[in-house]
Amino acid sequence: MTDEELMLAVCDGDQSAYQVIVHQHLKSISHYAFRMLGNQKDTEDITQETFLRLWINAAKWQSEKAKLSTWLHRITHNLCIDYLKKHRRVVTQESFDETKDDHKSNGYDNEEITDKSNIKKLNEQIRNLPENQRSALMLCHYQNFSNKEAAHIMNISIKALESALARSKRTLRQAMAITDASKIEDTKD
Amino acid sequence: MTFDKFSDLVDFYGADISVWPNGLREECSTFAIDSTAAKNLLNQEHQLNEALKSQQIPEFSDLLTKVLYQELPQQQQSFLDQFLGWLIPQQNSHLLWWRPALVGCLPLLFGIIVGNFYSFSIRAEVNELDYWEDELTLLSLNDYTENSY
Repeated sequence: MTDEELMLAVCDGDQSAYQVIVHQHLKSISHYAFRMLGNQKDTEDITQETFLRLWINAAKWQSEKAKLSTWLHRITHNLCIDYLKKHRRVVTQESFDETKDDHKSNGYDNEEITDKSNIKKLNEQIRNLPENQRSALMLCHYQNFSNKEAAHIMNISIKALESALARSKRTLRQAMAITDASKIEDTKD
Repeated sequence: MTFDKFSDLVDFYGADISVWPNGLREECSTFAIDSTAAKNLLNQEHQLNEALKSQQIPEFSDLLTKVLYQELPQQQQSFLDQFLGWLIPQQNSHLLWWRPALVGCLPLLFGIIVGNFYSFSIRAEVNELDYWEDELTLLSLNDYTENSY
Protein backbone atom coordinates (compact mmCIF):
# COMPACT_ATOMS: atom_id res chain seq x y z
CA MET A 1 0.00 0.00 0.00
CA THR A 2 1.17 3.52 -0.72
CA ASP A 3 1.38 6.23 1.91
CA GLU A 4 -1.75 7.83 0.44
CA GLU A 5 -3.74 4.61 0.69
CA LEU A 6 -2.53 3.98 4.22
CA MET A 7 -3.41 7.48 5.33
CA LEU A 8 -6.86 7.27 3.74
CA ALA A 9 -7.41 4.08 5.69
CA VAL A 10 -6.21 5.78 8.88
CA CYS A 11 -8.67 8.62 8.19
CA ASP A 12 -11.41 5.98 8.10
CA GLY A 13 -10.28 4.75 11.50
CA ASP A 14 -8.41 1.67 10.26
CA GLN A 15 -6.06 0.71 13.09
CA SER A 16 -4.20 -1.89 11.03
CA ALA A 17 -3.14 0.84 8.58
CA TYR A 18 -1.98 2.88 11.56
CA GLN A 19 0.10 -0.07 12.72
CA VAL A 20 1.73 -0.44 9.30
CA ILE A 21 2.75 3.22 9.39
CA VAL A 22 4.11 2.82 12.92
CA HIS A 23 6.23 -0.13 11.80
CA GLN A 24 7.55 1.86 8.85
CA HIS A 25 8.47 5.05 10.66
CA LEU A 26 9.01 4.25 14.33
CA LYS A 27 12.78 3.75 14.12
CA SER A 28 13.42 6.93 12.20
CA ILE A 29 11.16 9.03 14.41
CA SER A 30 12.49 7.67 17.70
CA HIS A 31 16.09 8.12 16.57
CA TYR A 32 15.49 11.72 15.59
CA ALA A 33 13.73 12.43 18.87
CA PHE A 34 16.57 10.80 20.79
CA ARG A 35 19.18 12.84 18.96
CA MET A 36 17.26 15.99 19.78
CA LEU A 37 16.38 15.21 23.39
CA GLY A 38 19.13 12.87 24.44
CA ASN A 39 17.29 10.67 26.88
CA GLN A 40 15.18 7.60 26.56
CA LYS A 41 12.18 8.61 28.66
CA ASP A 42 11.49 11.85 26.80
CA THR A 43 12.17 10.16 23.47
CA GLU A 44 9.50 7.56 24.15
CA ASP A 45 6.99 10.23 25.21
CA ILE A 46 7.61 12.31 22.11
CA THR A 47 7.47 9.30 19.80
CA GLN A 48 4.16 8.18 21.28
CA GLU A 49 2.78 11.69 20.97
CA THR A 50 3.92 11.91 17.34
CA PHE A 51 1.98 8.82 16.34
CA LEU A 52 -0.99 9.89 18.41
CA ARG A 53 -1.07 13.13 16.41
CA LEU A 54 -0.75 11.17 13.20
CA TRP A 55 -3.89 9.27 14.19
CA ILE A 56 -5.86 12.34 15.25
CA ASN A 57 -4.79 14.64 12.42
CA ALA A 58 -4.50 12.11 9.59
CA ALA A 59 -6.96 14.10 7.47
CA LYS A 60 -4.67 17.13 7.59
CA TRP A 61 -1.80 15.43 5.76
CA GLN A 62 -1.53 16.61 2.15
CA SER A 63 0.50 14.25 0.00
CA GLU A 64 1.22 16.93 -2.60
CA LYS A 65 2.85 19.17 0.00
CA ALA A 66 5.12 16.74 1.83
CA LYS A 67 6.01 13.08 2.04
CA LEU A 68 4.59 11.24 5.01
CA SER A 69 8.05 10.83 6.57
CA THR A 70 8.68 14.57 6.22
CA TRP A 71 5.31 15.38 7.81
CA LEU A 72 5.96 13.00 10.69
CA HIS A 73 9.43 14.43 11.28
CA ARG A 74 7.94 17.89 11.29
CA ILE A 75 5.52 16.87 14.02
CA THR A 76 8.37 15.31 15.97
CA HIS A 77 10.57 18.35 15.46
CA ASN A 78 7.89 20.72 16.74
CA LEU A 79 7.18 18.50 19.72
CA CYS A 80 10.89 18.32 20.56
CA ILE A 81 11.35 22.08 20.30
CA ASP A 82 8.26 22.70 22.47
CA TYR A 83 9.45 20.11 24.95
CA LEU A 84 12.94 21.59 25.20
CA LYS A 85 11.52 25.08 25.65
CA LYS A 86 8.99 23.97 28.23
CA HIS A 87 11.36 21.90 30.28
CA ARG A 88 14.40 24.06 29.59
CA ARG A 89 16.45 20.98 29.14
CA VAL A 90 19.58 20.45 27.16
CA VAL A 91 20.64 17.18 25.64
CA THR A 92 21.89 15.08 28.50
CA GLN A 93 25.04 13.08 28.83
CA GLU A 94 23.17 9.83 28.29
CA SER A 95 22.81 10.39 24.61
CA PHE A 96 26.15 10.47 22.99
CA ASP A 97 28.51 8.82 25.39
CA GLU A 98 28.13 5.44 23.84
CA THR A 99 30.36 4.83 20.90
CA LYS A 100 30.55 2.01 18.48
CA ASP A 101 33.44 -0.35 19.03
CA ASP A 102 33.26 -1.80 15.59
CA HIS A 103 34.35 1.36 13.85
CA LYS A 104 35.05 0.54 10.24
CA SER A 105 37.83 2.02 8.18
CA ASN A 106 36.83 3.99 5.12
CA GLY A 107 40.22 4.52 3.57
CA TYR A 108 40.80 7.88 5.30
CA ASP A 109 43.00 8.59 8.26
CA ASN A 110 40.72 7.14 10.94
CA GLU A 111 43.20 6.32 13.67
CA GLU A 112 42.35 9.41 15.67
CA ILE A 113 38.61 9.11 15.10
CA THR A 114 38.48 5.75 16.77
CA ASP A 115 39.87 7.33 19.89
CA LYS A 116 36.92 7.37 22.29
CA SER A 117 37.93 10.48 24.15
CA ASN A 118 38.15 12.29 20.85
CA ILE A 119 34.63 11.24 20.00
CA LYS A 120 33.38 12.19 23.45
CA LYS A 121 34.67 15.71 22.91
CA LEU A 122 32.91 15.84 19.59
CA ASN A 123 29.73 14.60 21.22
CA GLU A 124 30.01 17.33 23.80
CA GLN A 125 30.25 19.86 21.00
CA ILE A 126 27.11 18.40 19.40
CA ARG A 127 25.30 18.67 22.72
CA ASN A 128 26.29 22.30 22.97
CA LEU A 129 25.11 23.21 19.47
CA PRO A 130 22.06 25.49 19.31
CA GLU A 131 18.85 23.58 18.64
CA ASN A 132 18.46 24.75 15.05
CA GLN A 133 22.03 23.76 14.17
CA ARG A 134 21.67 20.40 15.85
CA SER A 135 18.35 19.77 14.08
CA ALA A 136 19.80 20.71 10.70
CA LEU A 137 22.76 18.40 11.20
CA MET A 138 20.63 15.51 12.46
CA LEU A 139 18.06 15.76 9.68
CA CYS A 140 20.59 16.05 6.87
CA HIS A 141 23.23 13.69 8.20
CA TYR A 142 21.32 10.94 9.99
CA GLN A 143 17.81 11.07 8.64
CA ASN A 144 19.03 11.52 5.05
CA PHE A 145 16.66 14.33 4.20
CA SER A 146 17.52 16.72 1.41
CA ASN A 147 18.20 20.32 2.38
CA LYS A 148 14.76 21.26 1.03
CA GLU A 149 12.98 18.62 3.08
CA ALA A 150 14.97 19.47 6.21
CA ALA A 151 14.09 23.13 5.76
CA HIS A 152 10.41 22.18 5.43
CA ILE A 153 10.58 20.10 8.61
CA MET A 154 12.18 22.95 10.53
CA ASN A 155 9.87 25.50 8.90
CA ILE A 156 12.74 27.70 7.77
CA SER A 157 14.09 28.75 4.39
CA ILE A 158 16.65 26.60 2.58
CA LYS A 159 19.18 29.42 2.98
CA ALA A 160 18.62 29.46 6.73
CA LEU A 161 18.98 25.70 6.88
CA GLU A 162 22.21 25.75 4.89
CA SER A 163 23.53 28.47 7.13
CA ALA A 164 22.71 26.44 10.26
CA LEU A 165 24.22 23.34 8.70
CA ALA A 166 27.41 25.16 7.74
CA ARG A 167 27.80 26.65 11.22
CA SER A 168 27.28 23.33 12.92
CA LYS A 169 29.81 21.57 10.69
CA ARG A 170 32.39 24.31 11.08
CA THR A 171 32.02 24.18 14.86
CA LEU A 172 32.46 20.43 14.87
CA ARG A 173 35.35 20.43 12.41
CA GLN A 174 37.04 23.11 14.47
CA ALA A 175 36.51 21.05 17.62
CA MET A 176 38.02 18.03 15.95
CA ALA A 177 40.98 20.05 14.69
CA ILE A 178 41.62 21.42 18.20
CA THR A 179 41.43 17.93 19.64
CA ASP A 180 43.85 16.66 17.02
CA ALA A 181 46.25 19.53 17.67
CA SER A 182 46.18 18.98 21.42
CA LYS A 183 46.86 15.30 20.86
CA ILE A 184 49.93 16.13 18.77
CA GLU A 185 51.12 18.47 21.53
CA ASP A 186 50.66 15.70 24.11
CA THR A 187 52.69 13.32 21.97
CA LYS A 188 55.52 15.87 21.69
CA ASP A 189 55.61 16.33 25.48
CA MET B 1 35.80 28.39 -7.97
CA THR B 2 37.23 29.79 -4.76
CA PHE B 3 38.07 27.90 -1.60
CA ASP B 4 35.40 29.77 0.38
CA LYS B 5 32.73 28.80 -2.12
CA PHE B 6 33.97 25.23 -2.15
CA SER B 7 33.91 25.22 1.66
CA ASP B 8 30.29 26.42 1.66
CA LEU B 9 29.32 23.68 -0.78
CA VAL B 10 30.98 21.03 1.37
CA ASP B 11 28.97 22.33 4.33
CA PHE B 12 25.72 22.35 2.36
CA TYR B 13 26.00 19.08 0.48
CA GLY B 14 28.58 16.96 2.32
CA ALA B 15 31.85 15.35 1.32
CA ASP B 16 30.56 13.23 -1.55
CA ILE B 17 30.82 15.44 -4.63
CA SER B 18 28.97 12.88 -6.75
CA VAL B 19 25.69 13.78 -5.00
CA TRP B 20 26.11 17.54 -5.40
CA PRO B 21 23.90 19.44 -7.85
CA ASN B 22 24.69 18.63 -11.49
CA GLY B 23 26.05 22.02 -12.47
CA LEU B 24 28.68 21.99 -9.72
CA ARG B 25 30.08 18.49 -9.84
CA GLU B 26 32.62 18.76 -12.64
CA GLU B 27 34.05 22.10 -11.58
CA CYS B 28 34.26 21.08 -7.92
CA SER B 29 35.83 17.71 -8.69
CA THR B 30 38.58 19.45 -10.65
CA PHE B 31 39.06 22.00 -7.87
CA ALA B 32 39.26 19.23 -5.25
CA ILE B 33 42.02 17.51 -7.24
CA ASP B 34 44.02 20.69 -7.83
CA SER B 35 43.72 22.36 -4.42
CA THR B 36 45.46 20.95 -1.35
CA ALA B 37 43.23 23.01 0.96
CA ALA B 38 40.14 21.54 -0.72
CA LYS B 39 41.53 18.03 -0.28
CA ASN B 40 42.17 18.68 3.41
CA LEU B 41 38.69 20.06 3.83
CA LEU B 42 37.12 16.99 2.20
CA ASN B 43 39.27 14.78 4.41
CA GLN B 44 38.08 16.66 7.50
CA GLU B 45 34.49 16.33 6.34
CA HIS B 46 34.94 12.58 5.89
CA GLN B 47 36.43 12.35 9.37
CA LEU B 48 33.51 14.30 10.79
CA ASN B 49 31.05 11.98 9.03
CA GLU B 50 32.80 8.97 10.47
CA ALA B 51 32.78 10.50 13.93
CA LEU B 52 29.09 11.26 13.63
CA LYS B 53 28.42 7.69 12.52
CA SER B 54 30.02 6.47 15.73
CA GLN B 55 27.10 7.77 17.77
CA GLN B 56 24.95 4.97 18.99
CA ILE B 57 21.24 4.99 19.70
CA PRO B 58 19.95 2.73 22.46
CA GLU B 59 17.37 0.04 21.82
CA PHE B 60 13.81 1.09 22.54
CA SER B 61 12.56 -2.38 23.29
CA ASP B 62 9.08 -1.54 24.60
CA LEU B 63 8.42 1.48 22.45
CA LEU B 64 6.87 -0.39 19.51
CA THR B 65 4.36 -2.08 21.80
CA LYS B 66 3.59 1.19 23.57
CA VAL B 67 2.95 3.05 20.33
CA LEU B 68 0.99 0.25 18.69
CA TYR B 69 -1.29 -0.34 21.61
CA GLN B 70 -1.70 3.14 23.02
CA GLU B 71 -5.28 4.27 23.41
CA LEU B 72 -6.30 6.02 20.23
CA PRO B 73 -8.80 8.84 20.70
CA GLN B 74 -11.51 10.09 18.36
CA GLN B 75 -10.07 11.40 15.11
CA GLN B 76 -10.52 15.03 14.14
CA GLN B 77 -12.85 15.38 11.16
CA SER B 78 -13.75 18.30 8.98
CA PHE B 79 -17.15 19.94 9.47
CA LEU B 80 -18.42 18.39 6.24
CA ASP B 81 -17.33 14.90 7.30
CA GLN B 82 -18.93 15.37 10.71
CA PHE B 83 -22.19 16.51 9.08
CA LEU B 84 -22.22 13.61 6.62
CA GLY B 85 -21.50 11.22 9.48
CA TRP B 86 -24.52 12.60 11.34
CA LEU B 87 -26.73 12.60 8.25
CA ILE B 88 -25.88 9.10 7.10
CA PRO B 89 -24.89 7.16 10.22
CA GLN B 90 -22.85 3.97 9.92
CA GLN B 91 -25.53 1.85 11.62
CA ASN B 92 -28.47 1.42 9.27
CA SER B 93 -31.22 2.11 11.75
CA HIS B 94 -34.65 3.08 10.37
CA LEU B 95 -35.13 5.22 13.44
CA LEU B 96 -32.56 7.66 12.12
CA TRP B 97 -34.34 8.32 8.82
CA TRP B 98 -35.72 11.51 10.29
CA ARG B 99 -32.31 13.08 9.76
CA PRO B 100 -32.23 12.96 5.94
CA ALA B 101 -35.98 13.73 5.95
CA LEU B 102 -35.33 16.82 8.06
CA VAL B 103 -32.51 17.91 5.78
CA GLY B 104 -34.77 17.33 2.76
CA CYS B 105 -37.49 19.54 4.33
CA LEU B 106 -35.09 22.38 5.02
CA PRO B 107 -35.55 24.06 1.59
CA LEU B 108 -39.35 23.92 2.06
CA LEU B 109 -39.14 25.46 5.54
CA PHE B 110 -36.78 28.06 4.23
CA GLY B 111 -39.22 28.93 1.43
CA ILE B 112 -42.13 29.29 3.86
CA ILE B 113 -40.17 31.54 6.20
CA VAL B 114 -38.84 33.73 3.43
CA GLY B 115 -42.26 33.88 1.78
CA ASN B 116 -43.87 35.07 5.01
CA PHE B 117 -41.50 37.93 5.49
CA TYR B 118 -40.85 39.21 1.99
CA SER B 119 -43.23 40.10 -0.81
CA PHE B 120 -40.50 40.21 -3.49
CA SER B 121 -42.25 43.29 -5.07
CA ILE B 122 -45.41 41.28 -5.86
CA ARG B 123 -48.50 43.42 -5.10
CA ALA B 124 -52.05 42.16 -4.75
CA GLU B 125 -54.39 43.40 -7.51
CA VAL B 126 -57.27 44.22 -5.15
CA ASN B 127 -56.94 46.51 -2.23
CA GLU B 128 -59.22 44.85 0.23
CA LEU B 129 -59.78 47.97 2.36
CA ASP B 130 -60.86 50.08 -0.64
CA TYR B 131 -63.26 47.34 -1.76
CA TRP B 132 -65.11 47.33 1.58
CA GLU B 133 -65.27 51.13 1.68
CA ASP B 134 -66.87 51.18 -1.78
CA GLU B 135 -69.33 48.51 -0.77
CA LEU B 136 -70.38 50.43 2.35
CA THR B 137 -70.78 53.65 0.34
CA LEU B 138 -73.07 51.92 -2.19
CA LEU B 139 -75.14 50.40 0.61
CA SER B 140 -75.56 53.80 2.25
CA LEU B 141 -76.95 55.27 -1.03
CA ASN B 142 -79.82 52.78 -1.21
CA ASP B 143 -83.27 54.12 -0.35
CA TYR B 144 -84.69 51.46 1.85
CA THR B 145 -88.06 53.28 2.28
CA GLU B 146 -89.17 52.42 -1.26
CA ASN B 147 -89.46 48.78 -0.52
CA SER B 148 -92.65 47.53 -2.15
CA TYR B 149 -92.80 44.35 -0.19
